[in-house]
Amino acid sequence: MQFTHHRIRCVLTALMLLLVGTTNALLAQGTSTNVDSSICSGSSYSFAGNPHTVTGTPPYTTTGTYTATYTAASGGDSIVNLNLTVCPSYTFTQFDTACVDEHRVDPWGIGGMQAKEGTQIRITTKSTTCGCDSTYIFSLTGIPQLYYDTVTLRGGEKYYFFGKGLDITGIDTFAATLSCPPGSVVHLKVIRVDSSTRSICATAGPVEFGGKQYNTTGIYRDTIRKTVGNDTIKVLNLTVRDSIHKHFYYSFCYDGSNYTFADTYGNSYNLPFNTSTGIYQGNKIKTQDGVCDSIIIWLHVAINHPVSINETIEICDNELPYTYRDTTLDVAGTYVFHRTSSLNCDSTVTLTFVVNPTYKMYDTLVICNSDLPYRFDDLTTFEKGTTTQDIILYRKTANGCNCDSLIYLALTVNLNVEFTITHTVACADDATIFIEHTLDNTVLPALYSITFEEKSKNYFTDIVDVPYNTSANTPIFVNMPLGLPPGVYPARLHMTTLLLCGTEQPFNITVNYPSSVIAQKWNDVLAIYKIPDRYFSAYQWFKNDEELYGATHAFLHETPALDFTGRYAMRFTHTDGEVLFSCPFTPSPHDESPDAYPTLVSASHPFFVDAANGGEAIIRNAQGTVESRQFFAQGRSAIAAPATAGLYFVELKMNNNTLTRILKIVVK
Amino acid sequence: MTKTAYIKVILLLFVVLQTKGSVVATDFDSKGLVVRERRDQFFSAWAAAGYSALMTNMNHTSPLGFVGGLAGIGYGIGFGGPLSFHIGAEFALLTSSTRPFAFTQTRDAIDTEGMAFEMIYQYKSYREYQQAPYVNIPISVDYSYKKFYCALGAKVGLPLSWQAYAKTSGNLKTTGHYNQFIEDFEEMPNHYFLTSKVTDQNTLVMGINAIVHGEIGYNIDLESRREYSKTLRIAFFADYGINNIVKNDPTQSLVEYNTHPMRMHFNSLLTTNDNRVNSVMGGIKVTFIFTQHIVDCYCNTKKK
Repeated sequence: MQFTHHRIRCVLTALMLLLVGTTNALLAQGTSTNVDSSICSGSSYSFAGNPHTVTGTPPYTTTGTYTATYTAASGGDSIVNLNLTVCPSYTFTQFDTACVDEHRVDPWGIGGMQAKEGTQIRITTKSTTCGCDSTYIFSLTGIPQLYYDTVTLRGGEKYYFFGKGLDITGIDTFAATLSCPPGSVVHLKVIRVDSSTRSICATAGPVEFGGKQYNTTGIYRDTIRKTVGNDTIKVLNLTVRDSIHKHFYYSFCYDGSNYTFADTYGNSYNLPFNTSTGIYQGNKIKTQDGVCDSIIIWLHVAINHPVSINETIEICDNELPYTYRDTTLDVAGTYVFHRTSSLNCDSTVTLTFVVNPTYKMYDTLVICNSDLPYRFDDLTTFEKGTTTQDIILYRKTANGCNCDSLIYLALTVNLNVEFTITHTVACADDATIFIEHTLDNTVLPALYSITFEEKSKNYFTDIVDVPYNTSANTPIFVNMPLGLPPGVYPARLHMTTLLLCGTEQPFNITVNYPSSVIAQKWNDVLAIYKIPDRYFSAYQWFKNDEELYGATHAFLHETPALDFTGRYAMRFTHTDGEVLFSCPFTPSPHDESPDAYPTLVSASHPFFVDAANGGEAIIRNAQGTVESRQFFAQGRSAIAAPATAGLYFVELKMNNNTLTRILKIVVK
Repeated sequence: MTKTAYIKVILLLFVVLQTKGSVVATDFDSKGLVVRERRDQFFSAWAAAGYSALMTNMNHTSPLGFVGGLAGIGYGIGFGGPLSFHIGAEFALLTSSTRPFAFTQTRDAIDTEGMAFEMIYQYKSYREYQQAPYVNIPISVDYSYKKFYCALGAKVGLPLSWQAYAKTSGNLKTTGHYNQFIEDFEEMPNHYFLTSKVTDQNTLVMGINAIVHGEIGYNIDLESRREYSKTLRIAFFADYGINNIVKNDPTQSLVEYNTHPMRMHFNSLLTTNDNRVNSVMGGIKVTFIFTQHIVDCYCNTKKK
C-alpha cells in the first residue's frame, strides 16, 4: 500500500476531527491531548483547524514533538501535543550481465527478467513497516551472441570489449566465460593508422608514396587492405622546402672588353666580351643545414652596342631659327652630334637639316554684308558678322614641301541697307500706293527697284533703279494702275547702296475695297453695294479696327444709331479664300425729317411724302383753314392735292409727335 | 331662298308623309282574309360628330379639315317591312382648316430716303380656319335587316351666312431687297424688316348645299311593346356636298396690301380663286327613335 502525503493528511485530519469531536467537551473545558503520528520522508504535517498558537514552523517535515493551542468553546485553551515520526524511504540498485534470452533474478527476490540485447531497467517499489515506499532498480545488460564492430587504432591503442583488450582484426570467442550459449563471438575489424613525417628540398625531386610522386607540401594517405590481419592507413605529412630565386639586372655598353661585376651576396662574375644579352644563372647559396639550396641567383645581362642615327628635318623658312634638341640651327646643312643614348652608351646622330622657302601673296576682297557667309578661294568661309579687316590666310604650297604660303587679304565688308516694310495697304480708289518702311541701320539706300510677281505683272510694271529720296517721308511709292481690282499683289523690293550692296525683301501690296462700297441707309444701317464679279463667302464688320461681334451680314444695323465718329469697315472673305477689307467708312447723320414733293402739283393730283415714320398730312389753305387731313406711312406715300389751285401749307405731323414740319405747295 | 320659303318646303314634306292610308302593310290569313293592316310612325332625334372639311382643289394648299357636328330631329313612317322613309331638320356646323405651302410675295416700294426697293413678304405657318353653320333638311330611305340598317338620302343645306367666317393666322417675315446691295435687309424692325405674327378674319358668303347622305349602323332595342318601341341607333355616316358652296371672287388677292408696309388684309383662301368648294362631313351618329306601331284591324271582314 502506498500513501501519498495528501492521503496521510486526510487520514490524520479525519483522526484529528474525530478526536476533536470526542473531546469537544474537554476542549470546551480547556484540556490537553497527546497525538502520535508518522509521515514518510518527503511528506509534511500540519495541525487541523485554526490553532492560535503552534510550536515549530508548520508544515512539519522532520521527526519531533509539536504543540498546537486551540481556543475552546468555553473560552479556555485546549492544547494538542503532536509526537511526529518521519519514516525514511530507500533506493536499491543492482547491475547484472547475461546472455541474450537468459533469465536473471534480482537479488531481492522481487522478480526476474529475460535479458535482451542492450541494457534494460526494471524499477519496483515496496512498502516498509512504516508504510513508506522503497525503490528497487534492477539493470540487466544482455550480451548478444554475435557482435560486430570496426575500430581504428593508432599505434599502441587497444579495443576493449567487456574488459578484454583487442588490437587485431578477427573473431574473438569470449562469451564462454559468461556461460552464454556456445559460439558467442565478437567480430572485430581493426584498422591501423601508420603516420610518418618527411621534409625534402624542392630541388631534390619528387617523393614516391603509395605508388605516386609528390613534390608539394601536404598530407597524403595510402590505404593497404589485407585479407588477414589489420588494414593499414599510411599517412605521409610531406614538407617540400623551396628555394628563393633572386634576380639581378646588369646593363653594359659594348666596348670589346670582358664584363666584371658582383651581386649583393658578394659573388663576383666575369663574362667574356662576346657575351650577348640574356639571362644567366648565378651562384647558389645553401641553407644552414646544407641540405637544400635556399637562394638561386639569376643574372639578367643586357649588352648595349653603340648607336649611329641618321635624321632628316625639313622646315619652312618662317620657322627659323630652329631648335634641334639643345642646338639652335639657322642654316640648312648636315650636322653630326655625339650623344649619350638613353642606355648611357655613346651614340652618333647625323642630322640633315632642310629649310624650304615660304611664299607671301597680297589680295583684296570687297563684298557686301549680304554676301556673308562668303566662301573665299574655296578654302575659307567668312561667316555672317564678319567685318572689314586684314586677314592672313595660310595655304600649303603646291611644290610638295608642305610649307605654308601666306595670303595677306584686305577684306572689306560693305553694309547693306536693312529695312522693314511696315505698311503696303491701299484703297482701290487711291492714286498712289505707298510702300511704308523703316531703315534699320545707318546705311542709306541710293536706288530702289520693285519687281512684281507673276500675278501682279498684269497690272504693274517693274520699277528699276529709282533714286531713293531720303528727304521724302515716304520715298517709295507705286502709282495705282487704272482698273486695278482689289486684291493682294506680291512683289519684291530691292534697295542698293552707293557701294552697290543690295537688299531685297518680298512683300505684298494689299489693295482693299474703297470705302465707297459701303452705303449708309438712314442713320442706323450700313450696306455693301454689289461688286461685279466678286463673290464672297463670309462677311465681318469692324468698327474702329475692332471686330463687331455677330455682325456677319452684308449689312449692319446698329441701334439706336450708327457711331458718326466711328470708322466702319468690312472684312470680305472671297469664295476662293482670299480676305480683303474695305477702307474705313465714317457715316454722317441723315436728315430724316419728312419731305414732300413736288411742291408744284396739279389740282387733285397726288404729291408724295417721304417719311421715316407714319404720320398725318394736314393741308391748310393760305387762310389757315384745313382743306384735308390725310395719313401717310413710313416711306413714300401719295397725298391728294386740293382740287382748287392756290398756295397751301402742308403740315407733316409724325405719329409719335416727335417732329412736325410745315411745307408749302402750289396747286395749279 | 327666304326663310319663309324654307318653312313652306318643310311643312309640305311633313304633310305628304302624314297622308294616311296611302301606304300601309296588310296581313292575310290562310283563307286569304285580311287579318290586320298596320303601319309605324318614327319620331327621332340625333346628334353626330366627326371630321368635316371644306374641300377645294386649289393649288399649293393642303386642306386639313377640322371637327364638324350635327344635331337634329326627324319624323319617319314605315309599313311593317324593312323599308322606312324619313324627313327631318338638323343644325350642321362645318369647320375646316386649310394650310397653303409657304409662299412669298413681293411688292415694289420706296423707302424714306426715296430709294426704290422690293419689299419681300415671306409667309410661313400660314393657316386658315373656316366655319360654316347650316340648317339641313334631310330626306332618307332606311332599310333594316335584323339589327342592322342602312340609309341613303339627300340633304338640302340652308346656310347661316352671318355666322360663316374664315380666320387667317401665320408668321410673316419681311425683308428688303435693294438691287444695288449684296444682301437683303432683315431684322430691322424700325424699318419694317422683321418677323411678326399676322391674323385676320373674313366673313364667308356661303351658298345652298346639296348633300348626298349615307349611313350604316346598328339598332339597339331599348323597349318594345305592342303599341310602341324605343330604339337607339349607332351609325357611321357620311355627307358629301355636290355643289360649290362658296361664292368665289378670282379677282380678289389673297393679301391686299396698304400703303403701310405692315398693314395688309388677308382674304380667304376659299374665295380668292375659282375652284369649287365642297363640304365633307363624316363620323359617328347616335339616333334615338320612338316608334309608334299603329294597327287598323278589319279581321275576316274583307277578302282581298
